[in-house]
Amino acid sequence: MKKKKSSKRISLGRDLNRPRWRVCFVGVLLLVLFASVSFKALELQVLDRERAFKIAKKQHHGSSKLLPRRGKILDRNLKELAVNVDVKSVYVNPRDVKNPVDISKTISKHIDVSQKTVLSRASSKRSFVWLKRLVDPDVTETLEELDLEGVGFIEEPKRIYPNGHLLGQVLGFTNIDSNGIEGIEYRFDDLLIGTPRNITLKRDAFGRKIIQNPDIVQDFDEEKTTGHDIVLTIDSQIQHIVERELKEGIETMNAEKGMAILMNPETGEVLAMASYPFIDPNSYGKYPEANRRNLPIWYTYEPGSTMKLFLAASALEENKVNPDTLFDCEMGRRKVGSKVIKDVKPYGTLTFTDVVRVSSNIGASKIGELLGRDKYHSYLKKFGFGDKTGIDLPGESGGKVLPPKKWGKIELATISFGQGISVTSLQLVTALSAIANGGYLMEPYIIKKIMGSDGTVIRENRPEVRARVLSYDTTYQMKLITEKVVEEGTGKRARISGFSVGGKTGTAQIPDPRYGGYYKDRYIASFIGFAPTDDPKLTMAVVVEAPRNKTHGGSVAAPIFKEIAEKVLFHMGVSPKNVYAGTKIMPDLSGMSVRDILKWSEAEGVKVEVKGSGYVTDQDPSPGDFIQEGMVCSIELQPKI
Amino acid sequence: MIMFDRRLLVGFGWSLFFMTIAFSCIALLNLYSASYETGLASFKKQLVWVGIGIVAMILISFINYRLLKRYSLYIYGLSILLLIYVLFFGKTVSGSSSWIQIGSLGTIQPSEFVKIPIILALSRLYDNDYQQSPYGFLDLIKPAALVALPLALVMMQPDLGTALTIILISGSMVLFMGVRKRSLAFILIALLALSYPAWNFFLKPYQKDRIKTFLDPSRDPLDAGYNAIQSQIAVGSGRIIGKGFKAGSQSQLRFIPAQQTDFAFSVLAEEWGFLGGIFALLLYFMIILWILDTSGRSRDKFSMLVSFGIAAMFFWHALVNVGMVVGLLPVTGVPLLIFSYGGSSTLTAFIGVGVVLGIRMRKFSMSAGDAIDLK
Repeated sequence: MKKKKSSKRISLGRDLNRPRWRVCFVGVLLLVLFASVSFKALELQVLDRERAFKIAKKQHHGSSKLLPRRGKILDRNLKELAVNVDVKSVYVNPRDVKNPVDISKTISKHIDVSQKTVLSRASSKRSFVWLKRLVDPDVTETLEELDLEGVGFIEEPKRIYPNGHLLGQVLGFTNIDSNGIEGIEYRFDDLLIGTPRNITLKRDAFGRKIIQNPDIVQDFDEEKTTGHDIVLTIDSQIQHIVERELKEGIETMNAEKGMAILMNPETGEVLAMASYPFIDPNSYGKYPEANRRNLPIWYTYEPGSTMKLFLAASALEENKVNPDTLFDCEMGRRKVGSKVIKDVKPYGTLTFTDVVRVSSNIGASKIGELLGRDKYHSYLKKFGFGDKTGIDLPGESGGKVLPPKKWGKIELATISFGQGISVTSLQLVTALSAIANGGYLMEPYIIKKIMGSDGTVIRENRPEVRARVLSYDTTYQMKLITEKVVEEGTGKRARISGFSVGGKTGTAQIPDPRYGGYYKDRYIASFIGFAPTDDPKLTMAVVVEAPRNKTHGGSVAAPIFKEIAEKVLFHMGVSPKNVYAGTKIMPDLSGMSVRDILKWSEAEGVKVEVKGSGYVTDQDPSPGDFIQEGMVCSIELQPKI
Repeated sequence: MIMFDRRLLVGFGWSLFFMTIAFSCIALLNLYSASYETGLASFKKQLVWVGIGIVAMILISFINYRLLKRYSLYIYGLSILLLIYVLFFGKTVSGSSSWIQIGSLGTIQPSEFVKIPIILALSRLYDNDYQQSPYGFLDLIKPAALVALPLALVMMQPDLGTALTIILISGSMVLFMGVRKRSLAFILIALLALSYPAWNFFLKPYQKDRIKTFLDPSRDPLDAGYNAIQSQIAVGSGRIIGKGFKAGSQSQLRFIPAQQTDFAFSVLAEEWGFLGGIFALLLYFMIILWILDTSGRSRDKFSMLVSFGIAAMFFWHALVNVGMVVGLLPVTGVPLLIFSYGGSSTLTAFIGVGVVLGIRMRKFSMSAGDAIDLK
């Protein structure tokens, strides 16, 4: 109260002194509070900046992915086996759709998606929904003409196998998301697949706006995003011959399935590999799952007599026998332990060569006993039986070779003639190649090289010797023996005029998994062989399961071998030793013009009948077939597409 | 009444004046970008408001603050009448009847303007009181009643954001004048005790939601937390140097909520990054410091308190708004003065600066001012 009496000015002056200090205090307080806001901003914008940036990007960038552009699969001559074509996919931006019901009705008429599904997609809350991917071009064309609001199209690469069923099981196929799920497509998916393109869909907070096709395509580097190309050792021309002849042979014999595999014995390269019934990977869904198997590497079976070749080679290598060693074949019946071994025909005493030539089981069992269980087993393992070869394909089987301690007398006898052991065709041709090439067991392979999309070679496979199994002398003697088989023995029908062929037939029983023992009426007829024997260019195994018209390997598989080998040798340009006069071989005329045809026919003295104009699309006889004397070749031409 | 003394021009707070103009330009530039996608309508309106504001600021600076002191209670009374008017005849926008339609310029919000009259009236109250601080509990009844009347009216609209700023501003002023420790403690305890019934009976569900959501924004990321999260994403994604003018994806694609009004600063932070945001904040901070400086140099209690109150107004608006933008504080509808689109808050800010300028230019010319006053 005293202070109230004092003058206003003094009071004011004193009162204002302290607030000045307070103002400073308030200023500092203010600074601290501002600093805290700034520090929060620092944390958000500087220290933790990428987090918010990413979230922000996610918000306005739709992250739909386009199908990746897979690398190509090519044959050894770079012919395309699996490629991509650009096909349109249909999407809908539900925000732009005014009447989802109308649109769903219209669209479901054209594409193979139910109206209900289209409706639910067209009325969803997202800003980008695929309606159907990779739609047929004529369908998208009609849809584009309808010009429906909210419906758009983006081109995506679709996997195409231009040769249909050719090499189907080996190539495999991809699913709708462009992931390989069988075959090469599966095994090399990570190399083939490529980088999927992102569609940069910008949208606002209300989900409108969407960037259209041209922008997507612009910011995309095809070379960098395309997967690697894979070059196979397969020769598609040979594959074509193999498939055609295999199919014909199997159909003639009224069999269920069969397979063939063709190898270059010098290198171990697989030149052709076929499994019948074929599948067309373009429409793999149409085929039963069982048909998708790549039989030459997956299917294991008891080989039967073809096994005698490896028994014989082992015995020769061990010097237990020579080609003239005599064996008593006991007139077709021999008791081993509690079992009786039979021959198809009764024989008395046979030379070692003849045991193989006539395929005597009794003779083979005696060779096996001579060689001994452990030696024979170790040779089987050396030839690669019982183990996967490690070829770059999915689904390979190793077959089964019992350990020697489980071999009794009977097992030794039956394994000697190829029962009680299971193998794959790939193992057989690989082992046979060792006989054909002078004793080297090659590493079989089907991938020649892997190339980047710019053509640089990323990986290249070279022939590799896994082991030296046989001496040169042994292989020489084996060649003579196998020639005998074809010339005079069970494999007569594999003879090719002008070439020397070596091989061995096999007729094996099929184990019955339900009742034990073997089926009475089902056989596996097979032939393994190589040609020409003096300088083998190919080894091949042909296997037919359960033929009905004939059952013996010599009459079922050998002719198929012959048909294939004859044409493949011609394709390879291997000249025959002696060609019958007047026989010519039909070349591949496809793509030639009429003028070329006439020039060729005049020069070769072949009569031709030309149908149509343009370029050759069809010819009879097929490439590689013989032109008989006086035959008129019919050539069909069509204008180029 | 209005002095055109040459000395007044010499004492004119040019730095404060130009800093305010500069800040307005930044604000307009930012609003141009924020409203670009929607046709610049709010940018154009704000341009007019800023123009009006600058004129008002200059005119008010020439009014002697002693006149303001003399008429402060009348101004206060008038604003109370406006608040009552708006309660009955106001235009209702999103649940609050806070607006009065004014021709084609749109609407004004009396609750924004009421801050200045409260500051004036409160200063006048303390100025008349010669008792030495700190003040006891009983001394606080008068100022509390003075604030409580407009506060209650604002809360009835309801306009939580403005009510909050009124409490903060007047609370700052009362604390600035000094309160006895025991009384302060008592008040704090009372507030704490009251907060429980307030939470349960007075806050609306959406207001509770906002506070809960502030404590955990991911609790409800699509609804109440959406604004907070989107703002932080926008600010954070601006990183250090920002995305560039009109190039902020979050603002241009309208992910930022209320990006022309309450969250206008998010747009700046996104497009100009940390550096741009800090620059704008510093400028704002300088303005407040200049106002505080005016307060510190004041020759009398009234002008000191008025300046301090206006500094507090700028400060709390900035802290609450930017704190909300960066996710430090809950989402409240408090605009950043001048920066956020809105005629009433912008005009209020310019009037505030005008009052301060008027005080500042007269601090060296006491005699001239006194001469007038004494007539």
